[in-house]
Amino acid sequence: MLLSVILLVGIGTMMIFSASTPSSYAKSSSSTAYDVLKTQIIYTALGIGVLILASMVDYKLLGRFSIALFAVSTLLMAAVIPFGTTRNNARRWLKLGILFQPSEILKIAVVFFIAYVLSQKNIREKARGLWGILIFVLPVAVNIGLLVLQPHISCVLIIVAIVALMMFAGKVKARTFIVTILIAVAAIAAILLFVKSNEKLSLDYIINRIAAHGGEAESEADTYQATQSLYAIGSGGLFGRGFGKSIQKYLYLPEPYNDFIFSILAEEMGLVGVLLVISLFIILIMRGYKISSNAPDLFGALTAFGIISNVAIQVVLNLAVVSKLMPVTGISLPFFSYGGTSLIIMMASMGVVLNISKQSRYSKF
Amino acid sequence: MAKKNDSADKNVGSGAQRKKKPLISKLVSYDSVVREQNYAGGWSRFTRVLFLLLLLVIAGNFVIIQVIKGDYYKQKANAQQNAWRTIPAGRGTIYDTNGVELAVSVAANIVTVDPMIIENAAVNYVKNYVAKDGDVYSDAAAVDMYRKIVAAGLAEILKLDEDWVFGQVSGSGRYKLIARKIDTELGDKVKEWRSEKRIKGVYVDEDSRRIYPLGNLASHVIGFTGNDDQGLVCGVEVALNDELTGTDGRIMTSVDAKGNELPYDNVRRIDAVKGLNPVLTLDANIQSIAQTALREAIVKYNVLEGACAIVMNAKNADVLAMASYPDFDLNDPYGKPDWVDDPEWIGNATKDVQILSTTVWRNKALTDTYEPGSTFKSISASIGLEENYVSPGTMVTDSPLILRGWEINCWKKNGDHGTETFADAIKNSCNPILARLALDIGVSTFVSYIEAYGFYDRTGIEISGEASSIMHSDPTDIDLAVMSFGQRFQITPIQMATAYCALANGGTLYKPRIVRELLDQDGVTAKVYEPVALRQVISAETSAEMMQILEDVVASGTGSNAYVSGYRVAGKTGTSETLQTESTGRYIASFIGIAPADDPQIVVLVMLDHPDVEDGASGGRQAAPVVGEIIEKTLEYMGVPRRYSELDKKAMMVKSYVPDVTGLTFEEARLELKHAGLVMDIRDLPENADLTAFRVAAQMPEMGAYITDGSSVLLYADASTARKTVRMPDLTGYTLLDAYNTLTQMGLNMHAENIGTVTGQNVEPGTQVELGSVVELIVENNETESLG
Repeated sequence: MLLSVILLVGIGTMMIFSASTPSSYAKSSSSTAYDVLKTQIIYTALGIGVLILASMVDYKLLGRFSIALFAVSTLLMAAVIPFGTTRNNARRWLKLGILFQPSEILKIAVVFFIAYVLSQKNIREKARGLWGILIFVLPVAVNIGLLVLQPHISCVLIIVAIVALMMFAGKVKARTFIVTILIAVAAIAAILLFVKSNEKLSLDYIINRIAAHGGEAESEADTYQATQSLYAIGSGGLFGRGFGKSIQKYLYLPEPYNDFIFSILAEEMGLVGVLLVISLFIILIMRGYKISSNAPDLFGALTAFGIISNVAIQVVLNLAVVSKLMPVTGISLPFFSYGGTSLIIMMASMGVVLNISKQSRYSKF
Repeated sequence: MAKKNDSADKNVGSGAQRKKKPLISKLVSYDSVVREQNYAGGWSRFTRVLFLLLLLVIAGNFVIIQVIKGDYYKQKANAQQNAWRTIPAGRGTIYDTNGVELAVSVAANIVTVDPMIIENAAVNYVKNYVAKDGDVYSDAAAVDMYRKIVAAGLAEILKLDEDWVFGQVSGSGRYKLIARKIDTELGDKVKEWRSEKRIKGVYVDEDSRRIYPLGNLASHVIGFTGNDDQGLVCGVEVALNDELTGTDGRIMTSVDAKGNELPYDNVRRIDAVKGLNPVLTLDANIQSIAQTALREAIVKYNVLEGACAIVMNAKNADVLAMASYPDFDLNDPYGKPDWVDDPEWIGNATKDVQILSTTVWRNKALTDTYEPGSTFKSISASIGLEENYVSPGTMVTDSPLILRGWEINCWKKNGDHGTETFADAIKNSCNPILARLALDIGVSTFVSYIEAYGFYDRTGIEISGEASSIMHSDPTDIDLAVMSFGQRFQITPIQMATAYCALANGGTLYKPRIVRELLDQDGVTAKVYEPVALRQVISAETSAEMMQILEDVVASGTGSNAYVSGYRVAGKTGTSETLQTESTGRYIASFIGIAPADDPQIVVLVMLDHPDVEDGASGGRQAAPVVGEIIEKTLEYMGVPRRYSELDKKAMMVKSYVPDVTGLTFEEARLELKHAGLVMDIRDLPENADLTAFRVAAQMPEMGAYITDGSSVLLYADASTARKTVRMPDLTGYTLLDAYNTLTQMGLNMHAENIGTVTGQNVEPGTQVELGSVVELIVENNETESLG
């Protein structure tokens, strides 16, 4: 598993380098091809450090801080609304020394939080009935509300999916599960209604994208990204154009080193590269779930499960988007997409999984 | 330890559920059974399988996109990624038969401006290069100022109206044309000015311009091109437009979404393929001969409605020259014709084009239909000979033919030519004889021959504009009778000339050819246009008989003005009416000559439309001499040796004694000399002097000189007038006729006792000789030069 992580990160960094050069050139004459690469290498180095560190820390310790972590990330999320930085019409970033996305932290915090809540005897005993639902639905719902305000709908999707999967994995009773989902849906609906009545926050772009995806007459503008992505993937063919030789990255695909980095990989490395990377992800995910199964306790099992599910969901959603199986949402590809917060958090969580693996009942990693 | 915990968890969970609040416990239950086997197989397996399946589906989709639909997307991507600059393909060069360039494309420039860039650049430009310290201009003022700078600069270099350029520069949109097809030197000047003044928004790009080195020569045959290098209106430029047009090349570069070229090397260059180069059968020299002769005739005979001439290779109907008047300069096809009085002439205005296309652009040789008149009698006669209704020696009667109340008479006033041989009937151009012959032959046979001669179809010559003939669809016997001498139907000159080729070459009708071959860029033949023999119309015997008959026409008949000393010319005159004859007296004088008659090389057709002369339009009087001139010069150019006939010898040997005309008035002297077979040449009187008022004081040569018939005698009104001299040339080796022509041109007279090659002369070469002197030549009789 470590090997696949390293391979993925390695390929990812390479691809970021390749995919980002044109944008770097285009931004200003003074920036070089290596601008994005430099930052990403720093983050990668940091990420590896964090991974090693996290793999050495007993994950059980983390459980105790999970509520605090969740609280902090909720605060950060709340802080985005008034203080956040806006890019591309979305206020998702917070500048505290460095610019980062609190929602990335939130994702992992949610995993720990849910795993902790579900695995703690005393909480379970106390939290019965409606409480039992609210104890994790409420805090999560608050954050979802904050995400909607950013807006960051794709993150909402991921978090809802993670929570649902974890509840499912945590063997929450079906009825509980259904009620939770119903409440969540109701809450989201209420928020959406609220947002819609508030003209400042336009969600038209989401509606347009979805409409564009499903509609027969695909308007040029709404499907532009997806179409360009297909051009990139399609022109990769079996063996690709060769590393660095993507043409689609030249400003045709917006942010080629971010959400659509996989399209560039497909263009440059061809189907061979695509299948290699997908295989690596499959190995990583299968291995992660195996670790979860073999975890020494429920918290470890749920934590590993949540972390891996987070990866799996993002991979599936991202790949589905770039290959136009799904409407375009802003979901990044783990280990690939450019973004410091995302990568470090991802690496840290891999570290946690590795630690869980170390303490496995069956095999030492 | 883990195991223990797990089971404890389970026990606690289920226990609590059972003991307390059963209702809610049904709703909420932490039934998190964490037994060992559950970890391995239970809840995580579903998720695991789910994601595995999802990823496999996605991988499958990638296979579809990249492999199965790969080409489609690749193509789409290429379409947007590749930008190209066009490399204009040069248009092919048109050559005459000897490789003389008739139309060539040269590099030129096109100048455009981008008003948007000019507007955007204005403020900075004015700030940086115009404003002095402290000057401040509003944006609008700066834009105006910059536009004026650009307009003034371009107008000066390109010699354009500055206001107009300003209008273009200030226009809306992008890329406004300033000038195209300008010399590259001018384009370079614009570039220089642009970099010197640091002007933005002015572009100088490649363009090409068509140049016609020979100007008016064969303008209708060559044709001209429009702005986009496409053939327009007429000629080879139109007919072979596709072949002449090359394939534009491309420099393909990958570009980003903003159209900038990508940094790495993926430039693909597809070279422009120059158009093919047609080689015509047309010979610029012969064309020039024909045009000169035609132009002179137009002036001499006051031809009002234009004229045309066609010179063809008799053997295969290759067009050697095709001239039409009025003509135009190919380098200025829209120029105002001299006779148009229109101060507002633009050239490409609708009314102007209307005028141009009905006059100067009109290729009369192809487009005008006319009644062939007597020139058609050769055709009728050949049918009669071929069908054995007559032979050249058959005696026929020229008495009037009365047919259904119509009377057909010979053209001869006061009676007719009586009984004569059929050959003489053609020589005398007797209508009733041809009419009777045609009636004997009968409608269907006669018409089938006319069809075979190609008069019902367009000839199919490569260049466009050929009109259809106007023929009787179902001729009656009257129609037939009138048709036999070329009236009441209309054909085109090219049809007539083509038919005469068949008449001359042994009977084979060819499709007239004007394009011989196409050469590729390397000068290698890419396509050959072979001569196309359509059919044998008459036999070789008939053809030979016709040549003899037609040679007589020129030797002693109506076509005598086409006679060329030293060449045997056959031919037929034609004077035909047009539909407007009655009101305007508009006649068409035409002549078709064939030479040499014993081995036909060329067929020359001349048609003069409405010669306005006192003694009346006549093919024999006006068209025949033009044909004669064209034949003489063309055969000379072609190097066909003159071979003197008995007739030539006779003419050359006829000599006259010079009478004494001193003391007579010039008018008396003229008559006296004419009587002696000589011509007077007045040396010292103004051109319009009254010839009866002056008397001849001196003459040269003196009385008693024995000189060639038709020579000139120089007359002086004042005996003391200084006599001019010329330097005597060396005539050794000349034929007698060449020597005669040379001396006559110099103003000298000649006396020789023989026909043949000059071997000596009585005046040393280089000696100064007085004009009019008689030079004695010693000529060796040379039988090979004589026909005997």
